[in-house]
Amino acid sequence: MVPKLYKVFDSVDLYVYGSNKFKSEMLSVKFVLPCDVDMSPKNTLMISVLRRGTEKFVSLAHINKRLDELYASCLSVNNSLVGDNQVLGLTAEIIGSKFAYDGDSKKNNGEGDILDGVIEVISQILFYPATDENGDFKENYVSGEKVNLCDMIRSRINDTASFSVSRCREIMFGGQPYGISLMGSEEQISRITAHELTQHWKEVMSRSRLHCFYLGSQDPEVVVEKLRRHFKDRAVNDPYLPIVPNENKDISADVKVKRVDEKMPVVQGKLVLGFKFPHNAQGYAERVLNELYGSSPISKLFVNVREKLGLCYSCSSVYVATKKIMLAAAGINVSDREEAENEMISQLESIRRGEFSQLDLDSVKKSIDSGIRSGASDSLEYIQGFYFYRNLFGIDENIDEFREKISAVTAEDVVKAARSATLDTVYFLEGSVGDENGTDCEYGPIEDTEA
Amino acid sequence: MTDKENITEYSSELLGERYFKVRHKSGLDVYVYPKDMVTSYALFATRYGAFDDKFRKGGANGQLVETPSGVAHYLEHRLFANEDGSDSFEKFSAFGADANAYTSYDKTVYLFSCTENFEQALRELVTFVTHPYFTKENVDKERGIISQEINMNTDNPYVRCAANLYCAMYEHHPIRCDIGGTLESISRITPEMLGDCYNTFYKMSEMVLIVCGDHTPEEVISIIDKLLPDGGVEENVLPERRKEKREACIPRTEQKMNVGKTLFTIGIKDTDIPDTPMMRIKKETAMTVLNEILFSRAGRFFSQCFESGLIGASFSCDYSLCRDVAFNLMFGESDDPDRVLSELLEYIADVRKEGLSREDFERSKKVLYAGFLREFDSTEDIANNMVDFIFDGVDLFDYLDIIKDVAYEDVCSLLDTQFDRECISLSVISPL
Repeated sequence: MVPKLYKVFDSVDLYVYGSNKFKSEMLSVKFVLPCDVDMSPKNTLMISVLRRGTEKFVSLAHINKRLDELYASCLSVNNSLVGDNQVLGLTAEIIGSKFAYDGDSKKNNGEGDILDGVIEVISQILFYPATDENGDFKENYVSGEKVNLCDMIRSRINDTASFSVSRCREIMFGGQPYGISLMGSEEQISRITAHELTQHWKEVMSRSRLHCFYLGSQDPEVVVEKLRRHFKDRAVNDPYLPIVPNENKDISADVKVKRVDEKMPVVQGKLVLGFKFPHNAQGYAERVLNELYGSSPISKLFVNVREKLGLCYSCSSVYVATKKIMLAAAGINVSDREEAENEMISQLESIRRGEFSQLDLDSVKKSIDSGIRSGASDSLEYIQGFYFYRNLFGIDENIDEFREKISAVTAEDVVKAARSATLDTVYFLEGSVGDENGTDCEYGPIEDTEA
Repeated sequence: MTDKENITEYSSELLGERYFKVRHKSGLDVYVYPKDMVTSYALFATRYGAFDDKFRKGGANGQLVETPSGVAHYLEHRLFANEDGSDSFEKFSAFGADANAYTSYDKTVYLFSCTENFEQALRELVTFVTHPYFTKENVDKERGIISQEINMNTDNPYVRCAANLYCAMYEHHPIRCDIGGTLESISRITPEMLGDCYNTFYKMSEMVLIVCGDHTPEEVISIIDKLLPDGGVEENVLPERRKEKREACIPRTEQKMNVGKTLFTIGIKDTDIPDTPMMRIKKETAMTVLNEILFSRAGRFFSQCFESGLIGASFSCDYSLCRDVAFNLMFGESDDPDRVLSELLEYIADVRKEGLSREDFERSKKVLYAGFLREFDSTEDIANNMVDFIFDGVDLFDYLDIIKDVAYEDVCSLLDTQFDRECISLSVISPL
């Protein structure tokens, strides 16, 4: 089954994936903006200010109370980096109407339409923000969210694993859209005024098409009608267009590996290797390679770097399809840094030499296939994500076609993909606790040799 | 299946769901939850967790054995190794199944999910868990890996904040130690120790097998029949119940770490733990309703503290009752955690005077119901939820009635007895 497209308005598309298999239903409303070092932090601040209060639900407490009345509907804010795009939006997870329950175990006879209520809340958040007498976002909401965002920027260091992977990405794509932080810097955030943010919201809304996705059992026409009733029919001028990935043209043997070490007062070091694939990579062999290299319990990294050498507890890799890169990360003793790096690289080299069995290849392909089948059949999030990104980038591929392409990947394809992977960046977060310089805390680059 | 009389069916009309319990001839309780999903999920669990650091070898009158912290977790890591030198992960991978395991305070769970080759994967799960193989070499080799897992947690400020809090609240309960142990405690773990613990706790009478997916009880029983021999009557291991004083030991603890903003956890120690499983789950549910009334994101306390910038959006709370410990936790980020605590105590005093709102009470029960309902959309969620209920001694579907039966008066009386200042500890992690 493939989701079907319905036009709510010219500027609002709705994809419906009908299913009565789940007790929950899902509705997401997303819009796509280009990543930009100045604009993205404003977008991030904007979506959190919008979530604070609306004309009808004047504060966060009012919004949350309304969601609780709608059988504790979850409404989460989406803000993610997808290739060179920033995807913003709201996703609601609601319980199916037939499970609405009035507290006395009698079923609710359709009273109180949960989906309708949630669409109203989403519409209020996106189109009818709480404003002051000048029509600007309320100053206290803007200043409160500025403080919260600055706290989040500072708190990136709390999780050294995700911090070091983000730093590797930022270094790999320095000066490019994919190398930015969506949160920006504290200095950038502190300069944004309520008036400026309101003007920014108006521009974003006038240039954004809305992509809605509904997964549930209700009649699609009914969902369309509810969206028409609550959403605004806006004229969209000069629309933002999704940026289709077309990356990594700069790969050549002459480009030196970027090496960045940063110190932090923690015990464990985090080593991250960033590899780029050529821009014409199809992405199927690269996925299989990633699974074989570092994304399964039989992967080269798990079996050798962790199990055989005992250098780490976590050692794995991830393939980022939208940018055709692979990031391999390990948490290690600082003194094992060189051995771990050499071993991680030599494991990729062994794949380049074709040193893996047919059984290994079949196992990792099965593992990917099982993940796709399981997600595509049993997970609301997976189904939504799979089709959202393909629609966004105009990729005409359904789940079965995707599975077939993974299944067709041969050992030669994997070897070729491994040979085409170029080491771009080596990032090391050096834990300094226990070192003689352990009290210093330096977050800036302290060594940038071959960049 | 031969022993049809051994099958018990549990069902819920409201949810449109059912599951079966079978007492297998080996003494193992097997639960099969048929679910029309492509993903099959199975788990094999024992009532052995980090809390079980002391036990009697060979039954109630046997020798008392004390083990270093981290043994249950260490055992979990090593159980995947087989005598023929293979690793069970490889076998699961060959079947296209995704296997894993985890250790908590009160249990160890081995699991897999798959979309095909269910029979082979289930065979492997049951086989490797029932065939331990501990040698000095393979036990020593694991130490480096687990050391890195411990280091990873040492750097995790959220883990440290909770761990410091447990040490502040409790005098000698094993919750004071991390589940994985310490670098020192794991250095004392030997293959013999793992063997003793295995023989004590990995008995069929202490274990449970749960399967959720498109399967029948007959199918599951026929797969495991050949793998598990008939069992005799086994003596259950009685977990030691520790007595702790009512008050928290230390009111405040603070550690400086690599964080962007100060984190805190407020812990309220609760030593009033009911004796029967049903009474315990009822209390836990009533406490969860009370927390939802008091600290929901739609409520007064969160709104006032959040709007004034005292706490960030990450504020949340959780009441837990696990065997002989119970506590209520509130965690979040704040530049002034001591003020959060004083505001909380003032707020509680106000609510005690004003009384709880009946509207909030009804709303909170709705929130619990919706949260519970959502857990029936995934075979993984169902199986993991079931193991908690089974080890707590309560039927999963009873929870709907337990929520319904929480009385306004029960919640009011908990409001009066919880939140005493002498039972509270505050744990703070502040930036360097």
